[in-house]
Amino acid sequence: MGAGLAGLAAALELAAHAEVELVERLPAAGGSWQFDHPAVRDLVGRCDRAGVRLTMGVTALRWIERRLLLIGPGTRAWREADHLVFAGGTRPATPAELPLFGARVAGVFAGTVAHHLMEAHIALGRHLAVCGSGYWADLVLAEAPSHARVTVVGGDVPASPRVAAAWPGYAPVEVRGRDRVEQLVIERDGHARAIDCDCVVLAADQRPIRNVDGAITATPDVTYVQLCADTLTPDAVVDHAIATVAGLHGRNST
Amino acid sequence: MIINSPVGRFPFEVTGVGLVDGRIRLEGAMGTWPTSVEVTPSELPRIAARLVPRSAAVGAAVLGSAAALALAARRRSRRAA
Repeated sequence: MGAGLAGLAAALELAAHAEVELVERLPAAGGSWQFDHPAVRDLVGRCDRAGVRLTMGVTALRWIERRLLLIGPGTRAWREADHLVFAGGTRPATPAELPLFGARVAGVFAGTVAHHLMEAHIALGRHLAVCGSGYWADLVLAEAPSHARVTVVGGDVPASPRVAAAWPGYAPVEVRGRDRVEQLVIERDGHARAIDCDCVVLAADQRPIRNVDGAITATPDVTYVQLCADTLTPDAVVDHAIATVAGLHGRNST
Repeated sequence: MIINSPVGRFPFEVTGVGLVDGRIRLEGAMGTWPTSVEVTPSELPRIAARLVPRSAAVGAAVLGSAAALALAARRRSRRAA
């Protein structure tokens, strides 16, 4: 499940040993790498030639008793399979996972949401505190409006000229504010300091997306192919996928 | 054709073009999803205005005016003859 680079590489690796169907909720392969990335095009062609059944544009909702429920435009079907390889991508950590304490105030966004809103030219604030560095932070920094003051917390010091201040090594620990976020408290080695801001973007600490009922936690018939790293390269994703599914070869899996 | 959207970048393959209820309709597929795009006649000038750079539009207007003036002058000279 998941036709990004990881899912494509896993499907290709398994196709030599089993009958493989690759399911993707979007209508084209590629995932966050996009359909026209050279590595995606290459893997799609190789999967096709290797006999992988590509099922695009349908969402996998439930995995139960070795059956996968697929829903799509005009489609509702169960697929029987011996094994589910889950390549559903990654997301930044939530406030609860960081953990980030404090009031539940407006102005705190997941990096994924912040990026989409910024793409739509929605102003999130005048002083953005971006937590973390890497894929989602880079996307947010690229879309940050020129009038916004951007502070980056944790991760590496970004090279972006839009960053006014950086606090590498610090972790966000508390959000302060009445209705809207007014300060973000950050901490390193027991030393805390408060940053004035009206928007906090959480882009740190990549976590695996788990959104198929019955495949949320590890079971013997589910394998997760989700490389959680702040910076990903196509080679790293493909190598990780191949190494992860290599142990499935002997199981006559589908 | 390519469609960029907040959920991703997708290929749009056009398989047919036609007129439906006074609208230009492009039939095709965005990846595996059947997709169509409809353009109403009132939208065409706005699309053309965005496609044609302002300088080109000004140039076309100048050329058109010059051609009209030349044509009018030619008619006047014929009448005089």
